[in-house]
Amino acid sequence: MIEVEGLTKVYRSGVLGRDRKLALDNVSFSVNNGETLGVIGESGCGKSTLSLILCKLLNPTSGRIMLDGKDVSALNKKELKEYHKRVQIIFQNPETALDPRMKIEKCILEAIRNYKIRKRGSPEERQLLAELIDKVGLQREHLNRYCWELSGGQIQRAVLARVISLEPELLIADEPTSMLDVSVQAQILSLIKELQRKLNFSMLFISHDLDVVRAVSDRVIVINRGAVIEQGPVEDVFVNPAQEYTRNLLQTFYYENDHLNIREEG
Amino acid sequence: MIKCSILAVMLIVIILSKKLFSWGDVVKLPIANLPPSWKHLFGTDNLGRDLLCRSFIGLRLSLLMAFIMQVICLALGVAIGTIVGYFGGVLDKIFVFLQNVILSFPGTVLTLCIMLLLGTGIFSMIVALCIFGWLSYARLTRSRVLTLKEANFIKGEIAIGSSLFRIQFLHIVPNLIRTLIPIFTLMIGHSVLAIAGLCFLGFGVQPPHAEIGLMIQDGLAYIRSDPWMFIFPGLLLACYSVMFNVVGDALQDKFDPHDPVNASKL
Amino acid sequence: MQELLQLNHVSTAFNSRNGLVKAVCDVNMTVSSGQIVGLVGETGCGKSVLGQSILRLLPSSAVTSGEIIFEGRDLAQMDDKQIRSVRGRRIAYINQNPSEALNPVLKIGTQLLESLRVCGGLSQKEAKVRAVDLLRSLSFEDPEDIMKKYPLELSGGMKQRALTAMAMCGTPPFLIADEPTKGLDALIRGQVIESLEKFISITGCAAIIITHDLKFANTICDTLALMYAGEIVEFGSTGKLFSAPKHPYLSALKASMPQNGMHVLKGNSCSLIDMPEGCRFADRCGKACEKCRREHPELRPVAEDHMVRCWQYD
Repeated sequence: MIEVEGLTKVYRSGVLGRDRKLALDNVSFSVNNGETLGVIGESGCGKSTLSLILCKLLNPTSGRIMLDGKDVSALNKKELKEYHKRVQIIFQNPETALDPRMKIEKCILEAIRNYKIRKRGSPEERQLLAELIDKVGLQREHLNRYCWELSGGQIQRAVLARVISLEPELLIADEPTSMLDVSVQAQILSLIKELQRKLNFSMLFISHDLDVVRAVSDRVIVINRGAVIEQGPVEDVFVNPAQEYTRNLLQTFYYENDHLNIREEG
Repeated sequence: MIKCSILAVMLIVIILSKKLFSWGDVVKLPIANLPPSWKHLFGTDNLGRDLLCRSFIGLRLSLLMAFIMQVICLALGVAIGTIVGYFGGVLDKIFVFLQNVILSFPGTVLTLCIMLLLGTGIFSMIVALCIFGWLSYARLTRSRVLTLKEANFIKGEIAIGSSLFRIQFLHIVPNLIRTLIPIFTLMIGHSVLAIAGLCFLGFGVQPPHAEIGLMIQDGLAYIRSDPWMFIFPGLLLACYSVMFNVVGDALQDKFDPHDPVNASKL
Repeated sequence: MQELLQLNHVSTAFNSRNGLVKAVCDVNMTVSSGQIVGLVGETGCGKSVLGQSILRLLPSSAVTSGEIIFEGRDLAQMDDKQIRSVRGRRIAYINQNPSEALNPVLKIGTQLLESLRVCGGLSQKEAKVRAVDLLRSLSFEDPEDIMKKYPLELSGGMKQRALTAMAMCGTPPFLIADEPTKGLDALIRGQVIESLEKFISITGCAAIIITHDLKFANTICDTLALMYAGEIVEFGSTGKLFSAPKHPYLSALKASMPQNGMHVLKGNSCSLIDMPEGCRFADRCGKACEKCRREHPELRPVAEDHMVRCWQYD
C-alpha cells in the first residue's frame, strides 16, 4: 500500500554546505494493507529521518514514495494536506507532543476542524469527540486539562484520539512508548493494536526495544547507518538472522534477556 | 503579586496625573525656589511651579512615549523575528548580518546622530530609539521560534493539516507571550531612562512641556543653591524605572511556567 | 556480612498546594556490604524520592522522618557539614539523566579532576593519573582524549560512563544509582550495565539501584525491593521474585512485558494525597477481597529471604 524506492537523505552543514552526513542510503521497502512493519536499528541509524520523510515533514534528497501505486514524491499544497490525512504520526516524547497552551479538547478538535470532518460547534462534532475519547480510554474531565497536567500515557492517548479522528491509512509510530513505564506501555500498545484492528490501518513501528518490535510487528526491517540491511517476517529475522549485523544486534540486546529467561525458568 | 499591585498603583497615579496635578503646573513667580515643605513636598522650581506635580506630569509624558515606542518595537520585532525564524534560509542570513551590523554601532552615539539628522522633537526621538529597539525583540523571538519550530507539537500540527497561518498565530505566537511580557516590562523601564536621557541632553521634548529629563537638566543649574530641583525629579524617575525592572524580573520568574515542557527549555 | 545501611521507618512527604503528598511511607530496609539492592517500581512509586532522602538531596519542602543509619551514624540527624562529608566520599550518587548531571561548559577532565581532588583528597598530579586509570577501567579506549572533550561531544552511553567514573572518585563503599538507563537506547544499556558491574567489582561496594526497567534490575541486582505508592510491597532475592512473583502487582508487571504477552494492567496508581484505607493496590488487583479494601496489609515474610505485603499470604 505504501512503497518506498531508493530513498536517500543527505544533510548538509558547514560554511558552504561542505559537511555531508548521509542519513538514509537508498532505502527501499513496502508496507501492505493492514500490516505492521517494524523498524529496528541503533540510535542515529536514520530511523527518525525515515519517519519524518514518510509523513512529509522532511523532503528526501532523492528517491520516491508511492501511495497505492501513485507517486507522492512531489505534491502541491492541496495534495499535501490530503496526504497528511492519510499518513499520520505519533512521536516518542509525550511531553512535547501537544501545544502546552491548548487544552486537550482543543488539541483533538483541531484535526477535525482542519479537515472539516464535522461542522464546527455542531452536536455532531461533540458526539465525535465523545466517541474518540471513549475509544482511547480517556475521561471527560481530561478534555478540560492542559497536556502538562496529564501523565505520559494519557497524553499518548490524546494524541491517538487526534490521529484516529482523521481515519488514516498509515500510522507511523516513532518510539511511542519508549518514555513510558512498562505497564503503561502495555496499555498503550494494546490500544494501538486494537485501534489498528478496528480501523484497519497499516503501521510503521519504529523502536529500539526489540521485545516491543517483536510483539507488535508482522514484518521487520533492520537499518544500519541509513541502509536497509535485512528485511523479512519478524520471527524469521529474530530467530534466523541472515546478516551478521543483525545477529550482533540481537545478541547485544538479548544479553540482558537471557538472564531474565533463565531466572524465570529457575 | 505585591510588586505588581504597587506598580499598578504607581501607573494609575501617572495616568491620572494630568487631572491630579495640573494645579501645580502654573507659573507663580512669588513662590519660586521654595525648599520642600508640607505644602510643596518636592519644593518649587525657579518659576514657582510645584515640583511634585510637574515631576509626575513630566514622567507621564516620558512613560507615554516609552510605551508607544515599545509597542512599535514589539510589533515590528515579533513580526520580523517570527518570519525570519520560521522560514530561515536567505532571510535568516540577511537578518543575522543586519543584526551584527547594527549592534556593532555604539547605541547612544547612533541615536544622537539620527536625531541630528531628523531634528529634535518627540517624533524623531521615537524613530531614533525604535531603530535599535526592535532588534532585541526580533532576536529573542527568532531564537524562541527556532526552538519551537523543531518542537514535536509543531511537527504534529503540520501533520494534522494545520495551515501556516494557523501554526504561526495559534501555536507559535502564543508560546512566545511567556517570554515577551517580562521583556516588554523591563524594556519600558529602560526606555523611560533613555528618553529622559535624550531630553536631558536637549534633544527631544522642548520647554515649556514638562518632561522629567528636561527638569533634571534645569535642576542642574541650581544644584548648589536649590538641590531639590535636581534630586527629586531624578529620584522619581529612578523609582519608576526600578519598579519596572523589579516587576519585569518578577514576571520572568512567574512566567517560569509550571508546565514541564517549557521549564526544561528554559 | 556487615550491615552498611539501615533504614528504619523512613517516610518522606511534600507540602503541596493540594495537601500533603506522602511520597514514601514507613520504609524499613537493610543493605549489607557487597549487596546490590534494586529499588524497582513505576513512575510515582517513591523510589527516587527514597534514594534522594538517604543523602538528604531533597528540597526544603520535603519532610523526612525515621532513621537512616549508615556506618553507625544516623544520616537524618546530621548537620550540613557532616552530610556533605558523606556525599561523594562515603556514598556515591549517580544522577538520572547524564546530560543534565554533567556541567556543559566544563571539559570532562576538569570535572573529573575536581571530583578526585574534593572527594578523593588527591593532589593535582595524582588526580590526573587516577582520572586516566578510572576512565580506562570503564572501557574508554582513549582516556586522554575523552578528558579534553566537552559533555556535548559524547554520546549518551559515554556520558553515563563518565558520570560513573566521577562517582568512583572517592572509592566509596556505597553507591546509589538513580535510573542509570533512563532515556538510553536498549543497546547502550549494555554499556551501562558493564560500567556499573565494573564499578561494583572494583570498589567492592554495596549499592541501591533505582530503576523502572525490570530487565536491567534482573541483570544487575541480587536483591529486589518492589515499591508501589510509596511502600515496599515485595522484597527478596531477584531470582525468586522474578521466577515466582507473589504480590499481584509484580505478577501483573511481569505479564505486561512485551515478551510475556503484554497483558494489560488496567487503571492508574492511587493518589499520594488521599490514600485508601486498605491495600493501595486493591482497586487494580484481580484478587482483592473485602479485607484488602478495609485493612492495610503489613510487609511479612512468606519464605526465606522473601517478604510480601498482601493479605493473600497471611
